[in-house]
Amino acid sequence: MNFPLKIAKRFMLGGKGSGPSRLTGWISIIGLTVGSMAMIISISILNGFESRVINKIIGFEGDIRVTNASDWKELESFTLSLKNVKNTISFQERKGLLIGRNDAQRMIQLKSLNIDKISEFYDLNIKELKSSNLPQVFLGEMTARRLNLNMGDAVRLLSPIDNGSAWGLPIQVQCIVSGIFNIQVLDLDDKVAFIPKNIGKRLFLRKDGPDGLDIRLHESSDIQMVVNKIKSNFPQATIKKWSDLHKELFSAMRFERIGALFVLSLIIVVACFNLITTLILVAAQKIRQIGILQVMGCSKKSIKSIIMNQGIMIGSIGIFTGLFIGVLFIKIQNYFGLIPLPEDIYFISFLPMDLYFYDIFTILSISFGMVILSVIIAAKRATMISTLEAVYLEK
Amino acid sequence: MILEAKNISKSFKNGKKNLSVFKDLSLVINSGDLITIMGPSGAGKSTLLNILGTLDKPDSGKLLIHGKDTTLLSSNEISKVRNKYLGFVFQFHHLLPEFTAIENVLIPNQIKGQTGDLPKGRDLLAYMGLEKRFDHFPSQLSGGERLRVAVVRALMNDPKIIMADEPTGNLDKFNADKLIKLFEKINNDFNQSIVLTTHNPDVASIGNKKYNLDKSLLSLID
Repeated sequence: MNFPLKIAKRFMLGGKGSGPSRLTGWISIIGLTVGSMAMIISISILNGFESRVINKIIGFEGDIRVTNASDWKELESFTLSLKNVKNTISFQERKGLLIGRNDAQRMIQLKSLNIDKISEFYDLNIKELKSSNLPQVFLGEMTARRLNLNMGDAVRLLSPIDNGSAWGLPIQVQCIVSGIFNIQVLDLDDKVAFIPKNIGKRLFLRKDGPDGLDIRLHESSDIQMVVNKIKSNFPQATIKKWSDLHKELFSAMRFERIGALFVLSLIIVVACFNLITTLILVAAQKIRQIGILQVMGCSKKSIKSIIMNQGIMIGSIGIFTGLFIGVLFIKIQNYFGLIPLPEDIYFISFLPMDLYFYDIFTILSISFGMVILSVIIAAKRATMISTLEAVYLEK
Repeated sequence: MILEAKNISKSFKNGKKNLSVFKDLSLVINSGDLITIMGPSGAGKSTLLNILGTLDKPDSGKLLIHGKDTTLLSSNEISKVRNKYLGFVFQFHHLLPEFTAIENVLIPNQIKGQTGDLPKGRDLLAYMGLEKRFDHFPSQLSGGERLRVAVVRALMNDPKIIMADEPTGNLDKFNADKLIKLFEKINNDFNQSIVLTTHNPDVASIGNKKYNLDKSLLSLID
């Protein structure tokens, strides 16, 4: 064991003569433990919600959306030939008007697609009517509530920009509410209504053929590779990833993470103030010992190193203990779901927590960065003690 | 010649007044010297010893240790000189309370970058009659024992000179006599140079060169 570390260890844990610095040392350890634990738990909660929201959005829209393609059939067959692609679904969409009971109306995005494939492609948490030969429409729970509609109720649809009759009025189609889906994220339950292709053909008269292709991947991590492949084969097409479609949301989530990290870092800052005080107290309390070490030939650099070693020991114990308790808490919560959530509000039954390696790395970097800064300040202060003053203090 | 102080002066500022402790003082220490410096309290004995031991700097003059002018060395280099050539014993033992007797004794070796010569430490403690105190903490030792451990610590790096600043000042007569005899024994057995300050004429009498420091003047008594 190197000399400064050996001395630092004894100064901290030596028992006899450790005095109040031992207590304040423990207070610093507790402060850093609480700080790093709070950071790790908060970040994992943010991660947990973020990943659930992303999964819901990807479940509702797919990983990639291609629009403005010219040859949709070729695009679809090419995309399906890629081994990373799990499924595709082409669609037409327009702003449409829904007229429910008592002429209650709501403008909504009408998405026309192969309705038999809807549950296979999208993850909609849908309640479906068993069998119906009537024209179908699938609504979000919020839209159904706004229009006071239940399963099996009739609803009229029309696309205002598609003029179908001789009088210039759009065609109206009566459908039965055959499915109500419940995403509970953003306004997705009040944004889109799914209709079968044949109804779409009757309503959307201005333009024939699909407006877009939703693509689902086996692994979301392959997204950029698939985008690049489609782009190189269909350069005129507009290709957007789910993160491009919800840029504002994800930049807000990122900002929220940074904000949380910054605020929670303040706990570490306060703990580090305590650490500085502890180390200066150690230096003051061990003034005679520091003095005699200098008399015996210990350089100022070594004295600095003793104080720094002690600070880093306190910091490491505090930070790693906090990290350990935090990770343990996350594992227990994910396994047993100890903290429940009202599912109708949060769309999940227990508090979600996800921890990634880079979060641990970030928290360790922030915490140790502050600890190192603190020990440098304290060590600098400690070496300002004069050798003679220290040795002759009691004379 | 191990150490030579050439025309060193030291003064302290007291408000606007300059209080001179000594002026143009010169001293030579050779191998095997047992030098005692006597003088009344406040005469500047400790200040002189601190300067000779590189713990303090003179206002003017030169301090040569092994031919090297220490007044020109950096703080780091002076630390190395102290570790290699000098050993210190103070009125208070200044042992580290967190370490046992043997651990305290090995510290100068460890500062040097060595692991610590355990057999040598044990032999020296036994030489001082402390063979049953190796693993005792300073709080478990008597005042005399603590000072003897401090003497062993000062001897560990085979210093050229031991600087002892009123080592008996805090001991009863029995322990003071024992310690003084020990210094004589070390001087005889190891040809160890020792500089010892005291205000006790009995202690000063053991020196083969006896000095008196009074009114800024250092004079050889006989």
